[in-house]
Amino acid sequence: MPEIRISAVCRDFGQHRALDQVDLTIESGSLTALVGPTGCGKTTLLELIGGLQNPSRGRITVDGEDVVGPRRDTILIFQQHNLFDWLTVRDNVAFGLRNRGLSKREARRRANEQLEHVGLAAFVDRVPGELSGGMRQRVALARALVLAPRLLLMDEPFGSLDHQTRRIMQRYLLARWRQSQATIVLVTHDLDEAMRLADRIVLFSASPGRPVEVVDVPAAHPRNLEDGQLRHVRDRLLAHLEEEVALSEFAGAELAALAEAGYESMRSVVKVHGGVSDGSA
Amino acid sequence: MGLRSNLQIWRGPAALASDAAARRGRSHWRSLAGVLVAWIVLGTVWEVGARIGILNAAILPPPSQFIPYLIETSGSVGLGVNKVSYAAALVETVIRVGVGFGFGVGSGLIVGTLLSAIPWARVIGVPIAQILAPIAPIAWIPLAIVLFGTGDGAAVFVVFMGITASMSLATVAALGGVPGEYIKSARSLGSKGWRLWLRVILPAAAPGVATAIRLSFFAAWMSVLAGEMAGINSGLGSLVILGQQEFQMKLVMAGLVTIGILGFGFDRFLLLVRQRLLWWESRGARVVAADA
Repeated sequence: MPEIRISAVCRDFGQHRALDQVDLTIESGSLTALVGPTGCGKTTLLELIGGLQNPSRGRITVDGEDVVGPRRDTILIFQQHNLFDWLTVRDNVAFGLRNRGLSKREARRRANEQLEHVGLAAFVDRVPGELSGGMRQRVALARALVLAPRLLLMDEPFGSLDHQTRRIMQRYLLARWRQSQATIVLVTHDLDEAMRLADRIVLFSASPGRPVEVVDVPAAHPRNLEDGQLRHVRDRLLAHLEEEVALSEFAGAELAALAEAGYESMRSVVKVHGGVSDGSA
Repeated sequence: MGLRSNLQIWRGPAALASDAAARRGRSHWRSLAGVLVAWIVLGTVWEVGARIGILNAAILPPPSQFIPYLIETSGSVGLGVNKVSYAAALVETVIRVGVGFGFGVGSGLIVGTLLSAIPWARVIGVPIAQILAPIAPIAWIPLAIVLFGTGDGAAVFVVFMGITASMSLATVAALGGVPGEYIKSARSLGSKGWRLWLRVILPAAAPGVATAIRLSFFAAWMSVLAGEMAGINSGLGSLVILGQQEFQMKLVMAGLVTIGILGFGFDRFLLLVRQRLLWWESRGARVVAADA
């Protein structure tokens, strides 16, 4: 049964159209990655699903209900400014529980439990400023999971982490995802991250923002990206992504220059969009 | 980060916490020692300069002259109704700046918060504050004296007008500078209405507001002294002017040093309050595990 249904959704900011006619269905319990160049509206789509913004046109439903505001069963996690600097780790995790009317004591007790469960028991009295980037995101995840969300929306959650920490956090997310059985929608600009984690990858185009390709990745975890089939999918998506990035960054003549410089994937861009002929005409 | 920080993980959080506390304690004593040394150096240079004649002791009497003078005469100048004593002047000025600062900051916080919360109020209110804020505190003195006479009321008014508009604008800026992710995270975690303001937006804006409060104090301190020198004929500012008119340079120096020390003391007090209220700031500086 499909959990998130996005039909004909547009989102305008003044004159600028951030999302154009998005149709997408996200299965219950799946992990979907939204990949695309900066400014392609993938974050906007995430916030629309989370009820933090409203679509200009179209409709989004979660389990058949229209999204009109933040839902109890949906939690968003961002790249930065997730945790509140002025609360201890324990009180950060207790924050959502307090909003749901739990007493301070009960909320803190459950926060302690959750933090113990994820191996952060020793850090409950720290403030976020005393934690490493990886730990902060683990606390953010704990804060979301303590509310037992059915839908977890993550906006570049590991974007500010170094390579090694990022790999560890990806494995950690997979492990926690299996336990929680939540539906996860993850925004990333890192194709490898999407390949490692997602059941399904939605590739966005930047101009205007809309999904241009949806790829299922049926491989089991842990995945080896060098594996024949995965590598094939990855190479194709990478070429496509580079095209999209080039299109959102460069204009005709520059695209032609890129193709001249031997950038193989740019040749198709130039051909499709007529960059060379337009540029010289 | 290197091996050192990696090793710290294994020492456990308890050891780290006490380490951090000890380090904070040490830095506290170090800053106190710095203040003392600075004052001793300044006093010594002044004394030595006056003794060997580089500084004219008649114009710049050193501490060894104005401190005994202050004790002997209790710092009185003027005759009859114009007589001003040092202690009374000090108390007057402190009360004036305290009341004006309190009202100015308080109203600035309230107005700034309302302007941030109500969009149509912001459209009208911010330009008004932007017109009032650049008016130098001293420019309010004529109006203050006409409205309140030359007493405490005028001084408090000058201080109030000198800081309230800029404090309102600083509050609007601090609230506007709260990262959107904080608010989105909070809303996604079920926070809304006054709870969102009280538990997320205000604490997130607090560091910016605290800095504005400290800067406001300097403006308030200068406003009250300028007011007392330019028409409000009492208080420390007036004492310094009277000392100059009667060529009591020892009194002038005593007044200046008092103004400096009091201003410094208030600022330190505000800093202490900030460290208490925004307790998390001083703990945020160190990262435990290898991160970047």
